[in-house]
Amino acid sequence: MEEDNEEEEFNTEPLFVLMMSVKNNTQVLINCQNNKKLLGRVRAFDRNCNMVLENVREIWTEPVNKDRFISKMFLRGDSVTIVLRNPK
Amino acid sequence: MSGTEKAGSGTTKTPADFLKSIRGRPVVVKLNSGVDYRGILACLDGYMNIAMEQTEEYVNGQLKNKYGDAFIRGNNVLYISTSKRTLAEGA
Repeated sequence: MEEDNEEEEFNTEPLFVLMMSVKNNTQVLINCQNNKKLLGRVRAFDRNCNMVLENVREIWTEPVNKDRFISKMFLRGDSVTIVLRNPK
Repeated sequence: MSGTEKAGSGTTKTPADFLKSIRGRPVVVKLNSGVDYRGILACLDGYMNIAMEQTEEYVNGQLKNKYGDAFIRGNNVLYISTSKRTLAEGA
């Protein structure tokens, strides 16, 4: 019951963007406060935007263009600026 | 008491009324970093988290990227603006 209510809440509030990534196993692009980007799948999240991410490409351009692969990570929600989903 | 309000005026009473009124409309969201996101406001919550559709990212006034759905965490938001003019004319 509690889970159903929570899912309903997430479906009708801004967090549905994250819910869709969890449900459909689709990738999102996350811009972080540290000016790096994370491209990966959301395994789980909460209302603080804490997330468990899988198969993540971390991308940055300062001081040089670079990236690295992280197979699984916990991302603290405070670090999140924006989460982007590609057009359908 | 009612003397301060015009009958039938479009004045909204509180910030929450403004936020309700802009749901579904084109908006500009400026972040603390100075970046603008423009698109259709899908919804927002009590933390001022925002979901947008048809999102465009502008850096220093230049269109940098286009996305579908975007979620903006509320703590990053400097302001949300709507304009009766077309967005092409700027915020």
